[in-house]
Amino acid sequence: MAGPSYRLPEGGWIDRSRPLAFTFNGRRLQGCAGDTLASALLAAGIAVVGRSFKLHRPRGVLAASAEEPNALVTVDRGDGPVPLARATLTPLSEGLRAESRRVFPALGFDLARIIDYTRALWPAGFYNKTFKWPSWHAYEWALRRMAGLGRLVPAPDPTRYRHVNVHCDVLVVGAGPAGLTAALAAARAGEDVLVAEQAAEPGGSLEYDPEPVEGQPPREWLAQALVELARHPNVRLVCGATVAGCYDHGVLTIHGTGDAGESWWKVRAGRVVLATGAIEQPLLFGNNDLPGIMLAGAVHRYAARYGVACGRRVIGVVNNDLGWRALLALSRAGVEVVAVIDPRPMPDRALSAAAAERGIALHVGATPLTAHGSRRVRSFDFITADGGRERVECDAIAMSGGFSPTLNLYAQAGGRLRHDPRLASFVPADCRRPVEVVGAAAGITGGAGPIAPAPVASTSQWVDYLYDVTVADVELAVREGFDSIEHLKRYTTVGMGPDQGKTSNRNALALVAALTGRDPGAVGTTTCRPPYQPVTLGAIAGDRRGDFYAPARRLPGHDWHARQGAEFEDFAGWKRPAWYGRDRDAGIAHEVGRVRQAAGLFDASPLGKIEVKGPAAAEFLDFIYLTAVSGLKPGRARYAVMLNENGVVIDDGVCARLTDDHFLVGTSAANAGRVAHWLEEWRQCEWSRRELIVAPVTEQWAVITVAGPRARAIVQALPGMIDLDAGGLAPMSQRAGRLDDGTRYRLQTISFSGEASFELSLPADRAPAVIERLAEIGAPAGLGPIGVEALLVLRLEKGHPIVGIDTDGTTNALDLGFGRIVAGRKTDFVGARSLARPADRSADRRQLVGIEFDPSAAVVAGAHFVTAGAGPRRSEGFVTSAGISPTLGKGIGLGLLEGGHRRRGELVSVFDQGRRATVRVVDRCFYDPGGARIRG
Amino acid sequence: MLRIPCPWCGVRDEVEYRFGGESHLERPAPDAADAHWADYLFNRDNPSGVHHERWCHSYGCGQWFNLARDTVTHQIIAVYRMGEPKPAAGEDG
Amino acid sequence: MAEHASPGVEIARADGRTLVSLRVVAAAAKAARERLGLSEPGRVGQSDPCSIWLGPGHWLLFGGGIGPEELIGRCVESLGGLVHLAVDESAAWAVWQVSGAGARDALARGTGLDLRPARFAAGASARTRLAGIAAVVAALGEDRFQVLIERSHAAYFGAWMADGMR
Repeated sequence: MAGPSYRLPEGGWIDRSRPLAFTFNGRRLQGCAGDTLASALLAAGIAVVGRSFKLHRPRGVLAASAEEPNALVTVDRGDGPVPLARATLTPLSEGLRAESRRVFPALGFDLARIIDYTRALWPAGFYNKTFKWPSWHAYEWALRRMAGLGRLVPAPDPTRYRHVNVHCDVLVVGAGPAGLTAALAAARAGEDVLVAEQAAEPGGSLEYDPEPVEGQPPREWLAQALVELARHPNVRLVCGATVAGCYDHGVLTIHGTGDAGESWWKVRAGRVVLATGAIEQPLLFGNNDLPGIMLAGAVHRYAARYGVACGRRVIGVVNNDLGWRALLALSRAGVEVVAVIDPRPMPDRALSAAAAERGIALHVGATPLTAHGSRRVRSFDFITADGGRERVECDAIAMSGGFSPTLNLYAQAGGRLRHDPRLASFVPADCRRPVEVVGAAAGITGGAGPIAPAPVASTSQWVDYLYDVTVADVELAVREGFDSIEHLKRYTTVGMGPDQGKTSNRNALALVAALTGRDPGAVGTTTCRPPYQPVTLGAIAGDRRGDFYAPARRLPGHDWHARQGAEFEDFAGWKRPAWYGRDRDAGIAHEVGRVRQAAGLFDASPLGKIEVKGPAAAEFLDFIYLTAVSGLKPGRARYAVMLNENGVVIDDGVCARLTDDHFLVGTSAANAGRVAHWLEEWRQCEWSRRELIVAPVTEQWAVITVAGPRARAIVQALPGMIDLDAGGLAPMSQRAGRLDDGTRYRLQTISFSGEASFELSLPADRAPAVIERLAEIGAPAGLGPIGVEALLVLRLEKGHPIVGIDTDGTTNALDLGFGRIVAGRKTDFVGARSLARPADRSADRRQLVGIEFDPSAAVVAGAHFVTAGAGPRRSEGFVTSAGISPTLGKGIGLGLLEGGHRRRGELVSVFDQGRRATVRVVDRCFYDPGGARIRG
Repeated sequence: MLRIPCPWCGVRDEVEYRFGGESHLERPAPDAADAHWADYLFNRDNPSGVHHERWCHSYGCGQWFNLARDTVTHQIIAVYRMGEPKPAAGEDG
Repeated sequence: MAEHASPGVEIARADGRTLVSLRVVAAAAKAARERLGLSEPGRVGQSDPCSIWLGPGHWLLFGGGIGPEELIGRCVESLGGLVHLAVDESAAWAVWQVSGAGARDALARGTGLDLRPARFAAGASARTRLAGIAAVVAALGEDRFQVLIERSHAAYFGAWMADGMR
């Protein structure tokens, strides 16, 4: 595969004294510091770097920068393989391992190449047409195996990914001469400047173009520019950084790569300067995809920048003056250029004279035909100006089909393009956002020439290298009516590869224009969308993975719970003890029994707590709640429900009145943030003229609930606790006080479990000490911790629904049985009007009921109530909670059942994944319906 | 991602805000007809052009405010407080 | 090379100070600010009590060596007649000091706030989204910041900051 070195004896910006060893497909090779992977492969004489996606044709390096469609390799620098890396943008490093994509079984002899010889079967739209009989699935396994551009690695990704947020006055995209000039001007004006360069080093065309800049040799100018930029404290130049997307309001994203890992930048820029250059385009001729056929500018760049000759006998096939310039520069750099073939009858006179002087054979007015070779180009056929067919031997072809300004970001920013016939390319027209285009990206002169397929088989002329789209495919698509550029793209897949058509869109467009007799400007371009280049998903995720994926809240008493053997689970963003001990079911049953027989300690800190104060507070809460609270006396509390404007229940909790104009709104743990926001929204948007204050205090107060027949005695034993028997501290009371150690507390007698219950609110920083104290005091009485799962069982035994579990987004207040409260309301409240609609009052709605069943029956939450009888059955609702009550020894549950409120006593079938059971519809409260135990 | 000017905190990323839908909705009286109430609940303008909408700077100062935004270009035409009338420049939408 | 390292960053928990959240109704905001010397929008104040503006009519007050009851008492005394609510939030926040030459970059990993020195100089404060959670960031000096987050997020936030310094 590799021959002797193609490194030129001198030249290039590489450090020949620092050799770097690397491997390609397991083969040991050597390059130098300053090489890219592509230049090192070319220097080692590696012609074939991969196989094409569809036809498995051998492919070599085409370009020298981001537009490369062939040299997409998997690169491993020792920190895991990165697929789809462009060899042309990959700096060479010691020990780097690269592997080509799609090598089956080996790069030199690709079995799947057989596809190439049967390519008549694989025309445009092949997957829509060919694999229909007997079924797509008969072919799918084989195609899936062969498709794809890289391989996923199942091991954890060791790469470091980071997010970076940046603000600047101006973002300059590209650090070539135009970009650096713009950056210098902005820096001198005192602006904050960020310059992003996709290559590993700044310079762009300054690296190889011999043309002087501002009268200076390009490399000297570059060195001076970099020194000056470094002196400005407000300038940041970042290399290996590809601007991936341009969004609204000056937001851009950058994908950064480098030794320290990858990064994902969000930039907020006051304005944007695009110095993104122009991309040279391939020419259409037979076998124009053979290894050794490269873009002329790239061939020159490899010689001038990396000291690499892409061939020992190079010919030029060009249609424009810039192509000639590249060939002349190449020749001066010491690469043997033997001939130039140009379809134009009269190229620039000075250029052709200079070429002739260097001994290059000139064939102007010639018609390119086809290249020959198998794993590397060997010769090229063309028709001379006087009509004779000629063949020239070569081992590399430097082609230039003109230039296409890189305007992806401009188009993403909403900039419109117009076609300039003199430049034969699209150029910026106008953009309403502050985006300026400079340098070659604004249009490049001298790069235009005729674009037409060669008079040879159109199946042998490639338009899209990456996705194997030929001139024939484009012709077929146009013949079948897909001549809109967006249709053509989707039908042929031209430009849909990871390179997004950087070297194919222009030729596809020119072909469609010619085939349909339209002007290229009338054909237009496809829509440019982010990202400009493929971006690693890990970079976008950044550090937001593992423990940082979703920020978890911890209870103030977290460490204490951990010491008690808590099994923590996520509940609405909180890490909460689900149960204690190793055995889940035994633990839950034990904890339920503890509350029913002695006392349990439950950490209810995530419960939402919102203080509402002001002269309008009572009236406001009457409006917010279904349950009026203005009748509460200070020191008393009430269970209350909130609806949305559709009458749907959104939360429930306990509202306590602290003083006349001061209330404490309790919410469920899951809705703490949402309800605080809900109250604020009503306060600001509808009650803004009223004197009202809403203050969420959830984080300040830990909440420890002690429940069970012995709870009263345990809580009373806390030194400093108020007398729980005095003053008729009945259920649903609210008190405040101070413990002996100075800890302030709020106490509410609220029961969710059905037992006497004391909910103690403590400043979060004091909670751990008080929990310890309670545990110590209560231990002799059998006090122990209980988790969320046990509480769910306890509340189910009491028949308390949980909003969002036992209700859904259609469950209104009447469905939960609050009809009497609704009827009793005299003033307006949120959702009131909706409950008056006929559909909301229907007796056939899904209504919440209790169910009982035999413990052996398969009844689970999510099982459907189904109509009785044979034949197809209809769902009449579903079970929302179900379990075996350890206290009652029977199956109990809640469910939303059509017309449920009038079906008490009825036997109903339930169905779940093929299993059937029968349940009885009953009252919701299964345990102590009279509530005697709550009073303790 | 939009960059939204909060009247109190200045320009911040969209992620700091909560979108509240169309602004200037009038909540009907409790005795409104079903059709009128349904209109308040469900029917919203969806203009191609200037849209008057509510946003809340929920990660910032917590304040609700109004925005006149062009739904085609995302250009923000006006920012004004709750309770203030639509600005004249936005009336043509 | 993309710039990654955040050298020269120190983080430290600085809990323990008395914090009181004061809210007043819109009509009383101006009077409250004058009577208590509270900070302007987007600022952290230097007077006693030291305060951070959290929103219109909403401040977080720092007790200079006094307890929450005393500080709330001062508010009630000064604001007599104005509709207001002062609540103890000493346990509601985890307070961090983030300092060093790399402090701005360390914070910018997780927030879109414009932290450029010219835009967020000493005395500036902002409520924002930092590392995906609600935070209050105040610039106490050129490269010295105070970051307040909800207490329940303290373990997460500490781990996130440490991860960034790795």
